[in-house]
Amino acid sequence: MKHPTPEAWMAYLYPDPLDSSDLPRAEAEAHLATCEDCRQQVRLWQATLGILNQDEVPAARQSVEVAAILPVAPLRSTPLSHGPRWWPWALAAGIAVAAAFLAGRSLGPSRAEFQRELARTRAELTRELTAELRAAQQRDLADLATATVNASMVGQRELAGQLLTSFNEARMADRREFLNAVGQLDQRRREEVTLLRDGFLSLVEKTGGAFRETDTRLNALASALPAQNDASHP
Amino acid sequence: MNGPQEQVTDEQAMWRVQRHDDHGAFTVLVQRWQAPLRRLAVRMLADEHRAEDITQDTFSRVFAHRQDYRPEHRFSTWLWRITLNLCHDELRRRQRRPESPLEAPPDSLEDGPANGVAGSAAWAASSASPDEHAALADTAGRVRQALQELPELYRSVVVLRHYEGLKFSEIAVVLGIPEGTVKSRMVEGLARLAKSLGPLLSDRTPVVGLHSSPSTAPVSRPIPVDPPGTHLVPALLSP
Repeated sequence: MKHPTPEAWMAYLYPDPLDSSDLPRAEAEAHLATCEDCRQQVRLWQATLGILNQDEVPAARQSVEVAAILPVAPLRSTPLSHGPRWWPWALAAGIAVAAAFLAGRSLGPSRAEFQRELARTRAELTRELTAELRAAQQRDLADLATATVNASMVGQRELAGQLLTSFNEARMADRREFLNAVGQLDQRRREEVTLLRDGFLSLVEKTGGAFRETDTRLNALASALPAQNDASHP
Repeated sequence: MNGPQEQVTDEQAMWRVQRHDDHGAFTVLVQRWQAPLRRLAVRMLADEHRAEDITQDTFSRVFAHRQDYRPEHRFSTWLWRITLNLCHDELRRRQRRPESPLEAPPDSLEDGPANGVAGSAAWAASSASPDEHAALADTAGRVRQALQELPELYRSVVVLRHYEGLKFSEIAVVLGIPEGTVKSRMVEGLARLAKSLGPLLSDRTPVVGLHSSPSTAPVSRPIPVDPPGTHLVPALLSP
């Protein structure tokens, strides 16, 4: 007869429906029905477990003090500029270590015990300080990353402002240059118009004198020819 | 603390503690777990005062190491392991510097349940006669004594399996050992307990479970199933 292993019987004593590797209950009970050795062994285990149930833990005298664990204010609300957050712990640890050391020196006969207590206190404080320091470093790194990103954004904003200013200045300079050119063209056009007017007036004046002289000559010629004109007509 | 916050899972509450320093979520976790952790510490140390300190230290460590918790893992596994590590440290410290417990020994029943070790809860809740009270307290004291005589590696398995209702697979994850090893330790632990409690066992007539369930301790708290491939954060587990 093949007997189930003691480990398999543990699975029988504490059945887990989700564990398919356990000893099937029907198979175990069929074996118990035919195997006196296994039946006695299982009886012994069950009796032992039954006696274990006699031990009940009394209710707690005091609950966990949550306020002693949690910081007064959420840690993440502490600004980065306030410096390292672990220095109060370091100060408290220093005071505690010094007090323990002095107590160990002053109590004479139990000095060795205090030395051990001091070592234990130091180890615990070191452990707590290490954890607190690690957490503070992680928070500081996160704050530093945020500050770096913000600074980068501010720099980009300033650069954009400078570019805009430069662009405006360049545009104003171009505008001034364009107005100067237009002014110069206008001035040149006025000068040319003036020259043209002067030339025209000079021409008019010269031409006008010639016309008057010709008119005078024609008048004189006309006054000298009336007889011929009358005789030739019937 | 309002209702919805109390209904969140341990992992969700711990995530809020980790990400937002949520004091309310942390308080929920403390309220849920302080009793089981204290029971574990009492049975591992047989010292109720020190067990309360261990429970306090466990939650202090949870908050201090909250950034180390990985949300994809079960919070309970992490918590059991921290408590067991603290109990282990305490037991090592006791071995280096033996001290007499402040409480009365389990077998000193002159003061009845007031001695704090021998099942005062059962004493207070029971309606038995004084003789029966004394017998119950005596049995409880012997059981506590037998547990203390058990080596730590067997005791942790027996306590987690029998008293706290963890499955063998969950204990394997908590202790970081194969499930088969957990069952082997349970077998050895029960064998040693049976030897220690022999005189008490002779008075009892156990029932082999042909048509009855095994006489194991009732488990009031349901234990959810561990997702496959979950592991703990080793850095926190070996301070």
